[in-house]
This record gives sequence, C-alpha cells and structure tokens, in this order.
Amino acid sequence: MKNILSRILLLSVFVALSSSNVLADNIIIQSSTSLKNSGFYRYLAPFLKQYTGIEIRVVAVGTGQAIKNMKNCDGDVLITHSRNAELEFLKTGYGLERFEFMYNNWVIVGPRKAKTEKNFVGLEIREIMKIIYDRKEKFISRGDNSGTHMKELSLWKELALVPEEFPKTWYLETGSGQGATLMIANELGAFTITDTATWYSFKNKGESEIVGYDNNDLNTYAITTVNPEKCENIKSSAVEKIVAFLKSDNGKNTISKFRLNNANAFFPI
Amino acid sequence: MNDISEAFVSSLGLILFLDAELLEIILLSFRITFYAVLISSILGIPLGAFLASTHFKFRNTVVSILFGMMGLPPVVVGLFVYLIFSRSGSLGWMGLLYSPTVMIIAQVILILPIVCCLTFQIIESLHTHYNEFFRSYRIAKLKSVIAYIVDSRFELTTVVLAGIGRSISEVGAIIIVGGNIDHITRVMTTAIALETSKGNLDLALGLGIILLATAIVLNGFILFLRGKYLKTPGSTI
Repeated sequence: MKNILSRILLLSVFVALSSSNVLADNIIIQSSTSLKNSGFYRYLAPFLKQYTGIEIRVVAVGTGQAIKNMKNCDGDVLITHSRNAELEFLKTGYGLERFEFMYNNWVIVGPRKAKTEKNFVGLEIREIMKIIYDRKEKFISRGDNSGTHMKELSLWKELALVPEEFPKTWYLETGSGQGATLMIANELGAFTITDTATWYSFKNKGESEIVGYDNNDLNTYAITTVNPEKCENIKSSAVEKIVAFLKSDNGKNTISKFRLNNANAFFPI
Repeated sequence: MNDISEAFVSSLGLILFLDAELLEIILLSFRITFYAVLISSILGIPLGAFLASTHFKFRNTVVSILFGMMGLPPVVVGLFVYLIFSRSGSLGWMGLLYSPTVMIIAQVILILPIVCCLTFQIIESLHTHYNEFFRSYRIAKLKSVIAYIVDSRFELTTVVLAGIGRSISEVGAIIIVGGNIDHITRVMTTAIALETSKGNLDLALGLGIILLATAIVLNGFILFLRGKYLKTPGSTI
C-alpha cells in the first residue's frame, strides 16, 4: 500500500512540474472565430509580444457570443466583425471605444460547376443570392449569431427577403462554426457566405469555390475596448497598448504582411 | 478522398517529430485528466462505499440522482461551470475562468458520479455478503467501509479507468470553460475540434490517433501495475 502511495505521490510531483509558468503580462481577447481559424493571431502574437511586451490569449467564439462573454466581463478586449452588434455594445455602456483596424471581403462560395452552369459569372453577391432564392438552390446559413451570420441576414434584408419564412427544403441552418458550415456546404453542394481570409485558409474546399464578391460592403474588423467602470478586472493599460500598436504604421505593416494563398488576407485601415 | 490514410501518415509524422507544442498539449491533457480523476476518486470511492453499506431514509433517492448524473451532458456542465466562474458569476472574483483549474473542476463534476456509482455497485455486492459478519463482530462502520475499499481495490482500478476514459476524451465542457487558448488551455480534444473547424481533417484525425494511442498506453500501464500487485502475495496492507 505504501508503495502505491509513493508512486502516486511521485507521479503527481511530475505532473505538477510539467505545468507551464506564465509570467508575462497577458490579456484575454474575446474574438470572432474567423481570425483564429485563419491563423491571424498566431501570426500576430510574436509581433505584439515584441512591440508591446503583451501576451495575448484568444477565446474564439462567434461575434454574438464574444459580445455576450464580454458583457460578463470575461476578457479584456473585443475583436469582432459586426458593426451593428458592436455599436449596440457601445450603447449598452459596456463598450468604451471602437476602432476599425482592418478589412477583407465578403464572398459567397458554392459548387464549382454552378458558376458556369447557372450563369453566375461576373455577378455580385446580392444578385447571386436573389437567384438562389428564385431557383431554390441549397443555401447553408450559420444560424449562430456570429458576425458572418449577421452579415448574411443583412444581405437578405437588403433584398427585402425574410429568411425565417424560407422553406427548410433549400435554406438550412447549421448553428455551427464557420469550418463546420463550410464543410456541410461542400458536402451538400450548397452555397454559403464567408470571408476571403477564412476561405483561403480553409483546407477542405472540395468542389467548392468563390462564386461572387460583395462589391458594396467590406468585412471590417474592429477592436472595441471595455468600460472599466462596468468591468473593474480589465487590464486597460495593456489593452491601450494593443490598440495603439494596431493603429500604428508598424501595426499596419504587420497586418498587411500576413498572406494566405499568396494573397493578402487582411488590409489595414 | 483518402483522408484516413493521410491521417495515419500525419499522425506518424506528429509522433516522429514530436514538437514542443504537441508535447505541451499532450501533457496538459494528462495533467487535467490526472487531477480530475484523482479528486473524483478521493471523493467518489469513499462516498460510493459509504452509500453502498449504509441505510438511511433518502438513500435510494440519493443513489438514483447519482446514477442519473452519470449521463450529464458535458456541454450543460460546461455552461453551468462557466456561469459560476464567469466574472459576473458568484465565484468570478477568483479569476479562474479560462484556466486549467476550472477545466479540472468541470471534469470532476462529470466524473465524480461515474466513480461514485461504479464503486457503489462493486461494494454493494460485497456488503450483502459481509454485512452479517461485520455486525456479529461489532466492527465499526468506518472500519468496515475501509475494509470494503481495500478488499475491492483491484475491481476499483476499473472504476478509475472508466474515469480516465471519460476525462481524456471529453471536449464539450472544457472547451467552454477553458476557451481552447493556445499554450494555456488547449488539450488534445479541443485541438482536434479546432483543426476540424479549420478543415485540417487529416491533422485532426492524426491527433485523434495520438489521443487513442496515449489512452491505450495509460490504461496498459495501470493494468500492468494492477497485475503486478495481484500476483504478489502479502503485498496487502
């Protein structure tokens, strides 16, 4: 019995020693999933560490949930891509300031052959969505209140269409993240909305490709700081350093050098 | 599509060129599983043994609830723990959210009922055999409970293994409370979820193969220890 106990003790010492010590100044970013999935944070982290000395810890959930988590004060700063939701967050008094710092493009992806067969060549995202609606082509919605889902809903709204009324025969809601949704769209030969960085970095494209771009609106990412009066735990000075870096020439340069598929993933503002 | 064969190649590559990052992920998985199972066993085995050998008024109700809790959905447990440890939650002041500690807490909630109920079942049958004997010799309750646990220690390794199995493969709860943060709270299962969402199916499956392999090695090691003690007479207390 003593033998077993000493073994357990030894093992627990070993396991405890294997824990990593964290000494650096760090902040938690509540973020949209797209930036993490595209590898952007992994690229950005060493630059932030070098120029600001701050280590970032990213919790990647949908924009809707990121804002919800931030209202619970579970983080230090918000990086999302839904203008209306961010402005709403500012209005509630939780948000302090919002800075747009980079953008890329919204796209609609769908089966490769659809582009030529259905005469989508040269059409804009709204025109394609109208045709999808008219012809009842399969369309996959995120349905998870993420930034991309909010964008999709606003596009239908611009077309004066109401997705709640669409029959489930062709309009399907996954309620899942971007990756799962792209995979389902690919398997079903369906259309879905995404952004260029997510699409370039997604590894399982299969038979799908970009069929059209949004020529009117950009996919804009903003960093929103949080009111310390609402959340006293937030590390305001560290957050300010991050914001300052993203707005600096140095930061802009760093963003523009992040490339996926030999193309710029994001453009600094 | 030959994702499966690619997965084997990529998992082989991952094992051969074991980089620091993967090692970190595997070690964190082990650490969380180790503490979650250790705490669950320390609490659950005595509790299960006590319930199995004692009769009190609401015993059946308590046991039914515990058995029901064996099927707790991890996502619900994750949400529950998140709401408690969120900055706006009742224990938010501890600042434990998105840390390995809170992941262990969530897993203890998931594993404790399993350890407790399986222990209950093993010791209940012992109790029906030895109850009369202990009572006729007027042996104290605590002593008899300890005797039950010591006597069934080899059967109880299976209980611990069941706990390890649940813990190391769990993703729903720990991804919510841990946040799957790089270098801090990323474990094997949450890394698999992330790679899947990136469309890196071969890498995700490769990590899955490593997860399975480590689980088999871990189980083998514990069964080896068990076998060693089973064969050695006189190694009891």
